[in-house]
Parts: sequence; structure tokens; C-alpha cells
Amino acid sequence: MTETVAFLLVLAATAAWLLLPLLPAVTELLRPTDITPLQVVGRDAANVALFAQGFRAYLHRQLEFLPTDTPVESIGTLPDRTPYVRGPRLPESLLEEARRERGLDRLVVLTGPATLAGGETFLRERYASRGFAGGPRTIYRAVLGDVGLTLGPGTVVLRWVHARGDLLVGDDSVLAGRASSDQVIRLGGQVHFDRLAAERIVVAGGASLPDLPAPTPQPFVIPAGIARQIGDHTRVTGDLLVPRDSVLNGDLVVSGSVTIGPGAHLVGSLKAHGEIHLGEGAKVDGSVISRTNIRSEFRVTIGGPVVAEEEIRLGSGNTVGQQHRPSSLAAPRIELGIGTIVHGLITATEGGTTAALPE
Amino acid sequence: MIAALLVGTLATIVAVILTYTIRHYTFTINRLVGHHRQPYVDIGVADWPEVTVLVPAHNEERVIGGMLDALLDQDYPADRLTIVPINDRSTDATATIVDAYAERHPGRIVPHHRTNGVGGKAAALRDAAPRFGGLVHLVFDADYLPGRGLVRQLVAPFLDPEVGAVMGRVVPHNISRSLLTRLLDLERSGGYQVDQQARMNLRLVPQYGGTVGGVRRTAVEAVGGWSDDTLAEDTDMTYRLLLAGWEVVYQNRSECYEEVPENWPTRIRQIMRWTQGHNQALWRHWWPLFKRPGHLRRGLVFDGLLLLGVFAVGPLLLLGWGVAIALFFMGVIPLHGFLALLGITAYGTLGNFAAFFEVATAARLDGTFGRIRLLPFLAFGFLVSLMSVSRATLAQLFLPRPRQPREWDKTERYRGGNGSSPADGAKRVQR
Repeated sequence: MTETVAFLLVLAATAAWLLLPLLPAVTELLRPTDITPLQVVGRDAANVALFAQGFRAYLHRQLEFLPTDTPVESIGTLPDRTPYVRGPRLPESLLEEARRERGLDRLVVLTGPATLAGGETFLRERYASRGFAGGPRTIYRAVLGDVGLTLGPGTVVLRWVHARGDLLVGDDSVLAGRASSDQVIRLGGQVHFDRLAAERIVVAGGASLPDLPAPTPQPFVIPAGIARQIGDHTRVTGDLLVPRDSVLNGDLVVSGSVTIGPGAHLVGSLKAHGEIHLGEGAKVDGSVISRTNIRSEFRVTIGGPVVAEEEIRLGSGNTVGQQHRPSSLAAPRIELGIGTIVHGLITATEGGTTAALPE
Repeated sequence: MIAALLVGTLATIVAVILTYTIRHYTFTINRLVGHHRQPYVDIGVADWPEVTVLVPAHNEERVIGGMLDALLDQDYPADRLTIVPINDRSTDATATIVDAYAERHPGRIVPHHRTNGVGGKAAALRDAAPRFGGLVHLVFDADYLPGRGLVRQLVAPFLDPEVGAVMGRVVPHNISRSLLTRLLDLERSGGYQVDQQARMNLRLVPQYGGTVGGVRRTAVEAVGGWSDDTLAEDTDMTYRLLLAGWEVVYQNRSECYEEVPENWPTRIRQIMRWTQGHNQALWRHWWPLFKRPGHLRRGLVFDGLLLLGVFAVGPLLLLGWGVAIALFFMGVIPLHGFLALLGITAYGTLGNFAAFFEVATAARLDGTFGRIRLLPFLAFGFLVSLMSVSRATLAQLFLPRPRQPREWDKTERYRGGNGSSPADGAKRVQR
């Protein structure tokens, strides 16, 4: 072997060694495996009933393709091989199976009104075309009701529940994932939830709450030394206390914490970099947004969205949004007081809960 | 004396580059392990305010129809959404297309035709925006394809009274066209998924990017309206709002498809335009920002200054290379010893690849693992950017400025021609 050949070999080997890391790149360039645009559209979080709508469409498709001679009351498999049972009520043998530790591994399609005794576990979706009332301590993967749905105390829903009518949720239940209704969701005490959506979401216990006397409004002007006008909002440096029964006009941004005194009324929106505390009977017409926590006392009314980056704790008898002006309540952690009403959407990314009802 | 001057220059440049390297890693690590901050994304229901969507368009006959269709398909209340295509002296069929849409959708599409005045997107916005009301003015480029919920998502943060501007995420849809489009897809991922979102997480300065975003109308009015003497009205607006006390918000979930350049000359022109616009903003705003108005935190000001200077890093790096070579031939070795060797090796291992690490992290977060194999090719993109940015900066510094009114320096469009079809785009939007 001549010196030249040896040199060329070493050169080639070095070049190959250096180019080795580029091999995956060249391969991907010549034979692309990943050239579709990032799928970005359609991950819309606002539609809480999305899964329920998808399930309804799926079920409709599957039932449509069942053999034409399939009786209304039937047990078998859907065209995609999912085991199912359909009929006005569940056969006793399947109810027994649902009460065993493993639960019922069958999609349930109920065509008649039904009531469960409780303690069952349903490992697949459950659809009820008529009224349906679950018993206590029942576990569902997902439930879709074409009329009203009642979930007994201690119920666990693992993925989603949707009712076209009212959705009543018993005490101590867990609604993991999404729960929605086209009308009203009525929550018992100590119900845990992630995402709720309905025309009206009501925490039980409101009937027993007293009304507050009407406040005597007093105009309030923020001291000039701590406030300046920026566009259409007033910016306050430091903390702010809006006194009892006072009325303040315009949007407010506070760099510290803010307390809206009892009976005070903010005709605008409120943002604070620190905590927001809304006193008894306080009212904010617009949105309430905090970079930390929001805490409200009894009978507070908020017109717009309520957003906190850490926690929201609403006291008893609070109202968020209105029937024809729905709103959103969003925070990692949310606690709803008894008798609280939210018109619209609640999102608690780390979990929400309702307060315990009085004995 | 000269050697000492050169060593001082090199040390300064090294300090600046190291600062940017640390910044890259801070952002990347934040995205890997930090809290993902998106406070407004769950405002899905609200009493939605009136919105005007401005679509500046100059010779956009290939894409404007797709854009208007996508806007008409929004799930935003139709009675609160006004769509304003701003036809800025187009010489193709843009005006005809826009007028035909307006005729079919009276009241919903309200075209604004410009026939004179200063040209360019900034001037078009400055001219049209004051004529339209609404709480929010959203701005889209004509080649974008917004999904059904995008307007609602972009408007939600404005329910916070402090928010002056909102920026969504731009996602290329013509990525299969060439190596360049695939590299730009990676770059965009790094820029939005990591850079912008980290700045949002850390409460620094997310940048309003002029499209897939919007501004609060009253905020823009309060800071004097859109500037028509800048090539980067978006960066300019970001800093004017920031200095005046408004917050700029980035929302990673508000994603929208765009067309990226499919050939290098178009890309180079785009970079040079961005460079000159960004440098204008640097020149205008660094001192007011450096003085730190009382409402701005130190960290935010620091990040704001680094963001302003981001296009100055390229020429600075070239200068650093030149100085280092000069010092070498002068026989001056500024650093000695084991620690220096360790430092240089560490930088060679980690520092050089800070931006690459960022892109890789973005791909991981997006779950797009195949395309990350192209990462080594980003070095070519980096070199092209470095030269283009430096050339644009030098031209800005040393060449006389043109006196004639600014004109549109448009990015070439491909859809409907040799690129993906609008139908493809619309299908993706529907999916």
C-alpha cells in the first residue's frame, strides 16, 4: 500500500467519522418520516361536551351498522367489536357482574328510564336515552344522558358526563375530566371536579342562605399619589383597599393586593398582581383577574370571567355571570361555597371542590 | 494599545454572547421543567366584546380568499366581528376578490381600499385602524389560515384590563416543500414553543409579532397609533405598549398556520427586513427601557433589552471572530491556563448549541420526533441568517437611507401556485 493510498484511506475514514452524526439528518432529508404540519387546530378546550358529542356520533354510527334483524333488547358486539348491551333496563345477570369487583366491561345503551341500586362499576360508556338515576358509590367510565341524569352520593365518573337535561350530582362525588349539561348542573357538598359547563352550575344549599341588606353607595376616588390613568384603566401602585359600600367606576389594575370592601361596587374590571379579596356583598361588573389568589366572602356578585393563577375560593351564595351573559371561572384550584351559582364554564386544572353542606 | 483594545472588545463580545447563551438555556430549562403559564386559555365562555380583524393585503390574490373564508367560519358571535381586508394598492385581483366577498357578506366584511399614501403594512394599519371600533383589533397576514376558535382564543386575554397586546403561535403548513421550509418549521417551533412561552412563563417580554395576534384599540390610541415609519411595527408596538404600562401576552395554544418562504432568496429578504425593523426598534427604545419606568421589573427590563438586541448579535459575533483572528496573528493570547481551556471547551460543547437545544426541546414538547433529525442542517440556516443579519445591519449603518416612501417588501406566496393549495389548508383547518 502506497503512502498516498494510506493517506486517502485515513482521510476517507476521518470524513466518514465526521459525517456519521449527519447520517440521521441526511436520511430524514432524503426519506422524510415527519413532514406533516403540526396538528394544531381542533384542540379547542372551550367545548367541554366535545367528548360526549364524539361518543354520540360514534354510537349512532355503530348502531346504524348493526344487522337489521338485531332486536332492540340485545347483547352482543358492535361492528367495531365493542361488547354492548341495549334495552330498557339492564338484565339482572349483568347488574350482578357490574357489582363484582371487576365491573361490567360492556357499553350500555339504556332505552328506558332506569334507576340503579348503587355500588356498580361500568368500565365502558353508558348512554341513557330516557331519565336515569344512579345509586350511591357507582363508578362510571363515562355517561351520556339524553334527558336528565342523577348521580348518587359517592359517584365517581372517570372521563366525562353529559346530560341534555339537568345533571344532579350527589355529595362526595368525583367528576374527573369533563362534566356538562345543556341546562343545569346541581352539585352536592364536597364534590370534586375538573371541568364543568352548563347554562347554570349550582352548588346545593343556597335556599337556606339569607339575603343581605342593600348597601348605601358612597363614591370613592383612589388617592392620586398611588394611581395613574393608563388608557382606559387606572393603575394603582401597591396595595389598595376599596372601602365598604363605596362605588368605583372604571377598570382597575393593582400592582399589589386589593380588597374590595363589603357592599362595595366596582363598575368595571379588576386585575391584581397580588391577591384579591372581595368582601361580603361586593360586586364587580366585569372580570376579576389575579396573578395569585382570589377569595370572596358571602353573596359576592361578579359579572365577567374570574381567573386566578393559583387559587379561587368563592364564599357562599356567590354569583358569577348571568343567564344571558355566561362567564368563565378558571384557576388551578377552585373551591365553591354552598349556594354559589356560575353561569357558564368552570376549569380547575389541578382540581376543584364544593364546600361541605351544613348538617 | 491596539492589542489591549482588541482584547477589551473581545471580552465584551464574549460577555454578550455568554449572556445570550445563558438566556437560551434559561428558557429551555424553563420549558422542560417549569410551570406552563397560560392564564387566559380557559376563558372559553364570556360576554365577548366587539372585535375588528384587520388583514393588510398587497397583491394577495392567491391567498386572500382562503383567509376571508377562515375568518367567516369563526365561532365568534358574528354580530361582534367585523372583518376588514385592507387592500393596499394591489395591482392584481385582490380588490375584486375582496369586494366580491363584501358583497356576499354585507356588514361582516368591510374592505378598506388604499390608493395613495405611504406604502407597507405599518402604514396600512396606521391608516385603517382608526376608522374601525371594537375593543380589540386583531391583525392577520393574508396568507394565514386561522382555525375556528382562534379569534375567541386571542380575544380572551383582553378581558384582563392590563393586557395591551396578545400574540398567538405561528405554525408553518407548507413544510414539505423544501429543506428550507423544514428548517423554518424547526426554527418557528423553537421560537414560539420555547422562547415566547418561556418569556410568558417568567413574566418577561413576550413579543407581539404583528400577525396571529392583536392589540387593545384604546391602548394603541393611547400610545399614538401604529407607526408607519418602521419596518417592524410589531416590535415597535410591543415596546411602546410595555413602556406605557400595558402587558403583552403570549398564548401558545392559539395556533395558526402560515406559509413560510420556500426558497433562500425570499428567506434572505425576509431576514433582512426583520433585521432592519428590529434594529430600528432597538435604536428607538433601548434608552427609554434602560431608564426603567417604575412599573417595570429589573428582570423584565433586562430581558427586554436582550430581545431588542437580538438582531445585533449576528454582526457582533462576526466582529468577535475577526478580532479573535487578528489577536491570534498578533501573537496575543488573552486566556491562559487550565480554567480557560475548561471554559472554552465547555462553551464549545454547550454554548455553541444553545439554540439547537432550544429547537430540540420544542420538538420534544410538540411530540414531533422525526423532524428533529434535521437539526444539524440548522447550522446552514444559522450561517445564512448570520450573514443576512450582518449585511442588513451594515447596510442600515453605512448606506444612505432611501427618501422615497416605503413600499411593500412582500414575502412571496406559493399557495394556489406551485405550493400547497388553499383547499389543503382549509382541510387542515377543519381537521
